[in-house]
Amino acid sequence: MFNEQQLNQLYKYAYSLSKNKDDAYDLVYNSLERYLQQEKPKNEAMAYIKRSIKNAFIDHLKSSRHRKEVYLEDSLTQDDNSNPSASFDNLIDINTNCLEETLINEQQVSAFTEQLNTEENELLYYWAVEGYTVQELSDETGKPKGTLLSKLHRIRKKAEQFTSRISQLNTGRIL
Amino acid sequence: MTDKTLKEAIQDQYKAVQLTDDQLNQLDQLQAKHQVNKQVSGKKSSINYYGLAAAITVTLLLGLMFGSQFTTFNSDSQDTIAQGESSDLFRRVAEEVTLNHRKLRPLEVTTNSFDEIRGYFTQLDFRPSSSNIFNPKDSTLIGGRYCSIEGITAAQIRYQNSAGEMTTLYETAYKPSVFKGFPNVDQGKQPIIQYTDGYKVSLWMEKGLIMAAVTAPE
Repeated sequence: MFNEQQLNQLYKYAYSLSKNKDDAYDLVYNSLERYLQQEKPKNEAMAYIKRSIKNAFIDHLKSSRHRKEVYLEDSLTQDDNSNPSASFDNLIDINTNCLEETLINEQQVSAFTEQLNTEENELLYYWAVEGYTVQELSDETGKPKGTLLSKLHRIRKKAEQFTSRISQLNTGRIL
Repeated sequence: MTDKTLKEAIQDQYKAVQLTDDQLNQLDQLQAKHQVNKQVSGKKSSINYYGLAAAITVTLLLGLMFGSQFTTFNSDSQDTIAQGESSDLFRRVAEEVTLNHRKLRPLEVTTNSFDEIRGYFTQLDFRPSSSNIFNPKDSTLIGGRYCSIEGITAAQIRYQNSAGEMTTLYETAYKPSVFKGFPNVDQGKQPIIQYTDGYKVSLWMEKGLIMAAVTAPE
């Protein structure tokens, strides 16, 4: 039996993808039911249900044709591809220092995460809420560390652009 | 408006993302339903497997015994069925109260007075009563909340010891059609003991009430 803490963990994960509490609950309910019917081994239960939640969410996006962003498995930018090994070293530094130090106004964090795509929100969830290291993220998502670091780097850039836009808007208002 | 690190801000955002009590109940019911189905289907397959052997034995017995001996066999078999129904009920109740015990939902009344507990539970069709056989070691009463057992409204009364371990006493009205076979301690019977998920569950009838106690794993 899954306890309250585990169910809430699944719910938060589903919310990281859907950004909607009702949809997140539906995803958890349906995926839990699927798991219970299939009698998978208990030690893999949480990972299995999370995968099921993610697959159901992607299916939902596809079927509803309600893709404000496409969930891309490999969405490295051109920059990221140009010199992967060189950027990898820089990105290690970015991961351990810069993203940890990125500041954002607490009132605007929802607006910021609304602008991120599903995959970026999923990474932010694993990193901030579950406290995963890049290695653990890599194990969980099956993606290379370099790819993940590049994605975290992109999130940091987006956060900087977002806060800079907000401060420009605020300045404009004052003037 | 204050700036936070992105990590802290995201963590705060997710703190507000919590399942409601209703949603948790639905998910718990879903799990309980599947657990019961699994046990029933397991039992069915055992019955099928042993059924053939049982049928052969019965046929042989019938071949050897006649008249009154058949009647005796039939009445024994009825008792076995009745016992089977009761043990299913005990297991179901034990699972339900253990689930409630583990969830540790917020108390609706906090008190260490049983009189205040009685005063709080005004929506029950019985009066909560202290048990003569339930006395959790080194524990004090901390409060209670409404719950249900087998769909019947019940009182959940919680105790805590100095180590923070909880013991929960459940009381509900005795409905003969629902709680068939509960041992009546007022008639000198012993409580039924069940173990569910490592918790010890005692089930009995006392003072005309159905009672259940869940204690922390030892």
